[in-house]
Amino acid sequence: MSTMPILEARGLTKVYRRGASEVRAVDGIDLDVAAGEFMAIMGRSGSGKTTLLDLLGCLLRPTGGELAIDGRSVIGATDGELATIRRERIGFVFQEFNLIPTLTAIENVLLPLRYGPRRPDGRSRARELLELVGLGERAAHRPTELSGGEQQRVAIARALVNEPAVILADEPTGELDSTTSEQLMGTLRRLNGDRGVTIIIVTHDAAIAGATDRVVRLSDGRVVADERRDSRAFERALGGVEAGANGGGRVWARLGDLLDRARGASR
Amino acid sequence: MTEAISNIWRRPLRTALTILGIVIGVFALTVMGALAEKLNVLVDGGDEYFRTRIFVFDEGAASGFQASARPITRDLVDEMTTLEGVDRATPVLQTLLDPDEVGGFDLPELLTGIEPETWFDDRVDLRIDAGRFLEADEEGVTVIGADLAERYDLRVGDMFTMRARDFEVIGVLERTLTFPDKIAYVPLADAQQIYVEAVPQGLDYRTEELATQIEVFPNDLADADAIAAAIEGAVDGVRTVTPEQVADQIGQASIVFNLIIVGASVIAVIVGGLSVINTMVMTVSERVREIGIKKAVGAPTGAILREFVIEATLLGAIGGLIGLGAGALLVVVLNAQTSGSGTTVFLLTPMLLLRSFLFATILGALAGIYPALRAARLDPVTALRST
Repeated sequence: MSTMPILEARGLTKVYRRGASEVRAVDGIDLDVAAGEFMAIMGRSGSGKTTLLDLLGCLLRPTGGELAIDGRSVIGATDGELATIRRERIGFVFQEFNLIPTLTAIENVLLPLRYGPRRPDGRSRARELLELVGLGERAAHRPTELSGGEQQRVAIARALVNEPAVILADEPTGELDSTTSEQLMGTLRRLNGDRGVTIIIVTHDAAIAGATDRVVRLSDGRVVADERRDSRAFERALGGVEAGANGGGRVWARLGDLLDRARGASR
Repeated sequence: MTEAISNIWRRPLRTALTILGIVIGVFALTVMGALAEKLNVLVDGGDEYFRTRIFVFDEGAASGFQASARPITRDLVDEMTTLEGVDRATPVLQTLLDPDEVGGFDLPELLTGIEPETWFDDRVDLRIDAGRFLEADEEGVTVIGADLAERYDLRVGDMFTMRARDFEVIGVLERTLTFPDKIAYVPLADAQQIYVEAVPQGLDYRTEELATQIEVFPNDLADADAIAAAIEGAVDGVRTVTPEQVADQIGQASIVFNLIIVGASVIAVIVGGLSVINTMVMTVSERVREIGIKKAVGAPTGAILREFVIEATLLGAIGGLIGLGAGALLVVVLNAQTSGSGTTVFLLTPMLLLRSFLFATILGALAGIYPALRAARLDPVTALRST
């Protein structure tokens, strides 16, 4: 695992002014996210978690502090440079799926590629990703012909198409029923475990947060807790076994999964 | 592009109405354009036809080309011929082919009496399509323009009755798209006879001296103004019209018709342009969220701008094509209906069609810029979280 954090925030601040009063939506947050992490940002509504996600995803410019992605500062980047960072380094998954209704599933997956340099393998890659999320058969369907869970899986494939450094998911299960939610979390967990995709989920749902390895809690725009559940450390402790036995990592990941679910359920 | 196509069909009624706005504009532009195109050809051709010589009229003739029947003498013609820079001078008697038909919108049909040996030369740009041109000392023969041949269904060898006299058609001219198409050229003596017979109380002049104008051919057209001045100085009671003045008169007509085109274009801009702007502004506000999504996945400002401009351009192009088609159809139908009388009012040129299409397309693109800028400048977070 790389020691250099993928995301590095120092004193990250976002202040909104409304007339004379000002709201410190994000108030001096320090946060390091390493490659391969599977983490959640939790907090009540108004705690600043969505604003933080927008800042980390370069959708929003901070009013203060420092933010680096892949070790490169994004403060002072132009709008065009921010768009490039979003396209190449960030994958977004939203609560409302946010697919383009006139485009088919595979066209939606291809959307980020449209705005970058031409990639001859784009279509085959999009197809592969749809298969990865279990929608290989549905590539030609439009969003209205897909269920909520399917739409969200298309959104995940779209987020992955440019091989981003990190996936930022804003309440990704907010519009899904509990069974579908669980399946979706399984998909994310699998992407993290099998492919090493770094995932940050913003949620107010303790069960969802509990299914991750690290939970950062926000209140009034500040980090009030940063808990790591060390399932990975546990794995690493047994690293010899993992490295020796082919496919052992997967066994342990699945074991971790089960533990997570059990914990999530007990909360 | 395919996305733009499917996007404009998301609101079929609105799209149809928007396109209709452009259709009306381009339709008007095409029809008016075909009208002006025809007139411009007449005017330009007329310009070329008249621009080879100086016209000398009786002072009393009110304006340009009214028949004034001033008597000419050989002396008068000779006097002009001897002036510095003059190649030759020749009498012409021009009158209406049918006095009851003055010719409404189109050019009038004329009977033009000439002395072929002094009138016709290389500089008079008339080409024979069939038969031959007039020669000296003929009578009872005529060379007719293409429109006359078509309207009265005449071929070389046919007899053609004009002003109650029979003429044998000995030649048909190539189409010029201007005055000569509606002119029957006859020997001067025949025209003089016709003229005299039309004046019931008789004239004080000798028949063979009648003419409506003397046409003076300069050696070098550049000297025309000086020669005209010399003629007015040397000969009493005449007024000259130089090629330059003919061009001016003709140019004025041209300006009027071209103003009609400009007017049609302005209407098209207002109707079509505003409807595109209106539609695109609505489209942008409906798709704020999609714009947010695209920005979130990394679409640069320019790409969003381009997508909306393409959509607006497409509206313009579709409207342009339909308007063009409808306009062209009307023009063709109207031309077919009037062609029996030898008169066509419209002229469709490939250039006009291309211009109308480009006009609509560019109009769409320009009208799309403002709404597209609004879209492209949306803040991604605001756009994304809008409902």
